[in-house]
Amino acid sequence: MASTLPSSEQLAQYHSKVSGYMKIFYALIIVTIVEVAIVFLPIPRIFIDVGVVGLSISKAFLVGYFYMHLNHETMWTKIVALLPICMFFYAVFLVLDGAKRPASVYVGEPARVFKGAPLKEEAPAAAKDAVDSTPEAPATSASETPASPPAAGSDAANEYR
Amino acid sequence: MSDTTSSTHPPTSHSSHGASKDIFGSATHGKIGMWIFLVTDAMTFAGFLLGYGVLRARNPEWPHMADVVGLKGLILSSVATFILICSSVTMVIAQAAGEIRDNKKMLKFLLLTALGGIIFLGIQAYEYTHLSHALGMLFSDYAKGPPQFSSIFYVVTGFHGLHVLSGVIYLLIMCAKVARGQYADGNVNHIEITGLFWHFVDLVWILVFTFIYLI
Repeated sequence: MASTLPSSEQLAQYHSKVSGYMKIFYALIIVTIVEVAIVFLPIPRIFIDVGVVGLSISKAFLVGYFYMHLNHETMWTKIVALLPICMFFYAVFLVLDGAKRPASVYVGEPARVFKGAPLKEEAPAAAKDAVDSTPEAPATSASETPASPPAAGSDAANEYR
Repeated sequence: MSDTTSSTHPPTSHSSHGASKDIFGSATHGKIGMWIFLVTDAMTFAGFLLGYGVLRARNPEWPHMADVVGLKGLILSSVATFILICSSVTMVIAQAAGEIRDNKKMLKFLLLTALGGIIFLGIQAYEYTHLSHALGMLFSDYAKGPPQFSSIFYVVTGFHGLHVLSGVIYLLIMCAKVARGQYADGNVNHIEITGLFWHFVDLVWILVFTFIYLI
């Protein structure tokens, strides 16, 4: 199908749209330059981090709202698009929680579900004992596991497990 | 009521999709589908960035990327960010051109968008070789610090790079369709959907660039 030439009204609309997009582009460039410059400022790290994250969220908003045309969409489409923000709030709590625990708690420790549960690599050994030896053996190995102290970590670290 | 679910025609005001029209207005099913996909993809990226945050919070020896790559490296990544933002602009201009049925302009700007993506991938490839050879940053080890530092860097930026690559392929396929005149009638719904994916790739890079390089 042959394309017809656009009318002057359509051209005017096109030019006004494009000039709007270019304004957002200039804003994005300025914010990017400011973001990179902030990293090298002689101010406390916390201000750099907060400033840089805030600016990047504003850039993400500009791209999402104007370039992805969310400003023309209905409320429900905006809600669908904003669902990952919930992940952000969840992430803040998880990172803050993980940040409190010292790394040494987990060094050298095999994974376990909860305190007192048999360690994963001991479970097959316990099963093998049950097959090979007397019925008391599984009970013995199960009772030994919670009592055995962790390989690494202090008393404070034990509280987390 | 005629069936208006064909992919080349957005629902008219007499559409039979009452509920979706009330909720999503004139947005087509394809557009809503792409938004939902992008939301799930954003959650995947959020999971990776969350893992990065937890790893970093628990490791007091984590270096700052700005110190590792220096000003030159940061400027290189800023140039890559600038190129991706430019490609987002060309994408949105391509859509506007398609809406006034200027097929040539739409094709030109779509090709420029794909070119921006290819240049971004080239910069990433150069950066990866420089980081692994000159700075000892490998996928599973880092010569000058915790191995998770380089590992999570490659996972997050590599996952994003895969999105850029698939976006470039998507764009080139759409360029072929535009060249054949498939969207010359002013119905650019498919171009808009392509744009949604490309802007999402740019948006994620804006966040990844901040969290990985600047903090």
